Amino acid sequence: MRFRMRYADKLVGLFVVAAALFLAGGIIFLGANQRWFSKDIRFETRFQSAAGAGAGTAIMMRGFQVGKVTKVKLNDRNEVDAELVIYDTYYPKVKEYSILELVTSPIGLGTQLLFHPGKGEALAQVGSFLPLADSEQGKDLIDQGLVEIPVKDDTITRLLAGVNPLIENANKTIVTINRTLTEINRALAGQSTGPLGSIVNDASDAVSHADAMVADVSAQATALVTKANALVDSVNAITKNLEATTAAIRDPTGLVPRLLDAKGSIKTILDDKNALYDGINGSIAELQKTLKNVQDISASLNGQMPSIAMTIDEGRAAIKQAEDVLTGLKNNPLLKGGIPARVEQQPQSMSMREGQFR
Amino acid sequence: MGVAPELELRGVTCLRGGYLALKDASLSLAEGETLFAMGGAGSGKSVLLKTAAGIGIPNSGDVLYRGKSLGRMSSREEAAFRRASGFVFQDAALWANQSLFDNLALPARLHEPSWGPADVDRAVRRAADLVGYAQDLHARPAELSAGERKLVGLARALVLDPELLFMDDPSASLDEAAAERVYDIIAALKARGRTVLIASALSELASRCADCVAVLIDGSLCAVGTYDEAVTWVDPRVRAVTGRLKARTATPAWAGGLAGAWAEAIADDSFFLESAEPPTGEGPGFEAAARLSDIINDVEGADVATDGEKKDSS
Amino acid sequence: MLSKIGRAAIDGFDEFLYAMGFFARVLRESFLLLRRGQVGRRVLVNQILFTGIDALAIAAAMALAIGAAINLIGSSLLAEFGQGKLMYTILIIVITRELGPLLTAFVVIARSGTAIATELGGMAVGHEIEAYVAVGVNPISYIAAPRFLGVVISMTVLDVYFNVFGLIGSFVVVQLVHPIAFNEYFRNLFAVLTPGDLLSGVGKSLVFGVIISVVSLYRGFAVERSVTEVPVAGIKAVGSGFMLCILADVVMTSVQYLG
Repeated sequence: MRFRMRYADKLVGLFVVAAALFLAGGIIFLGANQRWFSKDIRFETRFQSAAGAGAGTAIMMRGFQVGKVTKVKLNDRNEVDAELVIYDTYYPKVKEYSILELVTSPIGLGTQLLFHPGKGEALAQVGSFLPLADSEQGKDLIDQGLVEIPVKDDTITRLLAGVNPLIENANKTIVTINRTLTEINRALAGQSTGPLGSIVNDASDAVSHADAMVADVSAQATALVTKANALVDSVNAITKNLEATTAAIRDPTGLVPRLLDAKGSIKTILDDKNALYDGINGSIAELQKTLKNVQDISASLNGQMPSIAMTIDEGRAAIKQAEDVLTGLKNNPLLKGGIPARVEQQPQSMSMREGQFR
Repeated sequence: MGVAPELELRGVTCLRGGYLALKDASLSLAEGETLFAMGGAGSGKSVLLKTAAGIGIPNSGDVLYRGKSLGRMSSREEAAFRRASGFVFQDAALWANQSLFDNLALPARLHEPSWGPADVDRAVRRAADLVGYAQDLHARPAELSAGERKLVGLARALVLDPELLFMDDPSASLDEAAAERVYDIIAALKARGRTVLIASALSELASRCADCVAVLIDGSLCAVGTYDEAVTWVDPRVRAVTGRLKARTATPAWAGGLAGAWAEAIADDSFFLESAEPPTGEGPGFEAAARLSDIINDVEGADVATDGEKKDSS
Repeated sequence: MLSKIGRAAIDGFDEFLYAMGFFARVLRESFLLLRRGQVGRRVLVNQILFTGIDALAIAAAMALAIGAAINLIGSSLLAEFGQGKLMYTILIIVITRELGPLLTAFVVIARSGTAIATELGGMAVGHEIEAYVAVGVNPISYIAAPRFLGVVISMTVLDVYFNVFGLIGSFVVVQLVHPIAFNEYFRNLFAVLTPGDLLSGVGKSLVFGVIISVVSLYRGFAVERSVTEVPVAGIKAVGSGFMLCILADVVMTSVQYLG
């Protein structure tokens, strides 16, 4: 209490001054963050509608904010005159013939105002007009190849929207096939405890997944480019093959006795023109083709989605694994001589399963 | 008409909480006069005093200090009036959140900005000594008895040696010795030509030092006159208030020699601080002051802490 | 009946006018106090000490708790919807714009509003205010103005601290549960924060400070002679302080979002 009263003046001074410092610091930090102290270069443009492009909208170029819309106004011809600024650090990119493009995301993530630099030599003049990509002026510039414009962004978004579920479904199918094969392998090795029927059901699931996938892709087929159409065909092929494979092992009641029966036994299934092996292997080959197609498409996406590549790689690894299993089945230790050594390096995550198979 | 009276009330009416506390009161007080406002409880003595001192604002009528209406004073004139007047509250009304020293020092600090801390300290101690309060000045009012608070309240009014003093029931809650001292002080002030307005129901005090008497009944001034007139008033309602006033036989103490050493001390101008220096010189006029200064010096020597913490927590 | 309502309306209006006049005098004396300083400076310092510094702990605790709660919601619930960045907007709206000033005001009303009203009430009952007048001290300039300034300054400063603790302190708290990079947090925060938000927060706390101090001073001075009036003054100061602050908040918020 005494301390408090004795140093009242100092305490109050500290209290007020520290707050003032905090406030001042906050304002300065805020100003720095909101570019109060930077020079911005002013330009103009015209929109058909200011919807999604009001004052404050960020102008993006390859994922970086290079400026923002500062003012929009409805003019006498019912167009929207807009003023915008490009940050001084990006001003050197604003060459002649630069244009803007308003892109609306198909999955409702709002709009983006993209900046595409022109291929002119000189810098665009301060305060000059930057046309919109879908205006007459903008289209002319694009047709003349005066604009450095990446692959049409709206197509990419559409493609991505189509490819994503596709990849996911393909992945699911692979996993299911892989699991089926593992289970078969375990059954053959006499380790299986679960009923073989569930394995078959899983296989059917895989088929219905593939069906859904096909429907999904078909629905978007019109919008997809030709490569995507090829993909759908491949997927259809997998589906058929898988159906055939499933049909081949649809009679689970007979399978186990046959496995145990020395006469009928596994030899019959596997040596019976390698029906099971060929069936499954066939679908896997198709799947591999699909994945290759998907990879081709995604290659054109310029590595924008590294996750696609990862999924594909994983898919391929799984397929290789499946092939191994099949080979193992074919060369069943009861019959022939084990899984041949692969020369290729296996991903490390596979080593556990490997041990199980050997 | 000559010189304007020191204080004049003209048709003052005051409303307090919906009832008339003071009805059309008019009286005037010449410089050096001592007026006793007498009356029973609730007769409006305090209201009369507060209105005359400019603490309460009259609902109608006017209070004039040296011919100037209190309501129409400039802030400078008002400050001068406050500097020249002191008010002793019935219940002392010390500022509870300040030490006694600060209570006493505030008028000096406010009206005498040129005084240094030593001057303020001296004035405060002299006022405290004058009323006979010689205890710790750094205590809070709450630590004091009602009588002690009353003395300190009186000291606060006297710190700047006012020429116009308002005393609301000055002897209330005082013991006999302290009350006696208060009489002495009033007598001394009279002797120095100070104008005093006292509200009291006590006849004894009036008998000793009143020049004029005003009788208040239910907010109305029923009778105003000199003391000698007051003794002869016959109206039974007025008599009920003034009945115990006795005709003066002996010469009042203040008319000739002063009553007691304190009165002597207060009669000396140098008692109240005009300069920080203790008075020096020869002759009887300086003796009391010099003696007091010695006492004060002793007190100061013993208690060096003068300007301790001044708190008002809120 | 009608005349009763009429009289009540006239009385209410009179009281309102009186309160406005009182407010104007307090404002004028406060400016004078700021200009000449000294007299009442100690009261001002003590007022800030009591209203501001002593209330800092509770304001900081509230700010920390609210900030941490929003941070946790932002990093779990909102992130689930893919709207993790919305957290910063919510932080700013809640701490800087809306709750910060209002909660600080509630703390100040509860602590200092009652204290001022009851203290002044006690002074009025003890004739201390009259004693000030008698000595020549203007009670508005010596009693009201420093308390007014003290509360207004404390309110504003407390709101700044509320922001500091709500925005920075909560970040520290959340580090224990859900670490976010310091840089990322503050870049995102300051990307959402606008000068308008700061202005709104500081403006609101200023207005609340004015309301709280004037209401409690007014209620305190309204006490006349009875000790029983003192707690009533305290209660009234809290009641009308709350009401007026909420009312002012509604008005200011509507002006900001509609205007």
